[in-house]
Amino acid sequence: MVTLYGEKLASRLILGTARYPSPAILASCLEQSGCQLVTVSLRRETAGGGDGSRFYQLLKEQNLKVLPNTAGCHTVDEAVTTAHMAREVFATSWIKLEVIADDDTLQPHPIRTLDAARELIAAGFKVFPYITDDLAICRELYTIGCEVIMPWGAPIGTGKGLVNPYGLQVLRERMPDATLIVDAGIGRPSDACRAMEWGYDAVLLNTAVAVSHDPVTMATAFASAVAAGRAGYEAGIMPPRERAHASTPVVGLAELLPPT
Amino acid sequence: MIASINGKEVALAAEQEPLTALLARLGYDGGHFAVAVNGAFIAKSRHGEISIQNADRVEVLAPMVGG
Repeated sequence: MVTLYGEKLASRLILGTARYPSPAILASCLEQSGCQLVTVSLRRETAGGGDGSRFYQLLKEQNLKVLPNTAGCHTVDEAVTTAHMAREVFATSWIKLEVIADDDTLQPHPIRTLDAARELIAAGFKVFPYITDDLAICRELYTIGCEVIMPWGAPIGTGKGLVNPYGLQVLRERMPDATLIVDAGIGRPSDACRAMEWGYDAVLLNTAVAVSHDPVTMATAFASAVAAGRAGYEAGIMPPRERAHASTPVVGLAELLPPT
Repeated sequence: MIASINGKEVALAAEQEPLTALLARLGYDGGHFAVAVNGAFIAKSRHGEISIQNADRVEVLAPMVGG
């Protein structure tokens, strides 16, 4: 059970909804993984098309909670306007705030993200900022009212995994009260498991499931990995040792060497 | 009088065409969508107060898949 802005979710796996082979496969992935929160976006609607409404209907049929994003925004104004439009369309004040600094790496812009977060919080939004793993900016976002912070594991869609294990672990240790979600770059179930073992509250991923040969099986694999990692964290993972330490008792060991 | 609707040029029916009339004429009635005019969000409750004129940019956005 994870709590996001006061709402409890049983699953700590958050899935994106893009790039799946078909709406039916997306629906199966969401159902089989037990995921309860999905990311969505806003794009231009074709006149009379109704595609957007059909997609939204699919999510509603599965009783999923949605987290709209501001993907593609580069400025504070764009992100804030998109958030307001998303709030009206999706009837939620939750917003995944993305303000991109660089089109090649899709690295979030820390200063503009902070400025946009301030504006959105003042307007009553519950902000989920997508941000780098920089401790100072994450702390600042938390201080201004972002209860949930979403540092990247790696650039969006790369599947490179957790490229800065030190930074992500420091973030978890130094911000024990914040709800932290690794967002972006996760490629393998083991990446998700590792983030959860470090004490992250949830993981958000999309491409790793959507582009696999068998998205439904991959979605369930991620669900298992997230659950395993969290259980390991809660159970208490042993600290590594420099030397071997026999697990079988030495007391009572037989003397079996022949006499010399 | 020409306005831009989702990046496409559209001839307006009047010098000041009501936003609600324009949206209905283009088939944007019902369904889930939100509107911005010249970069500013226009809440549904205010659609009736707005008219579109020459060179205005209207964005009509709807739910879409996303990561």
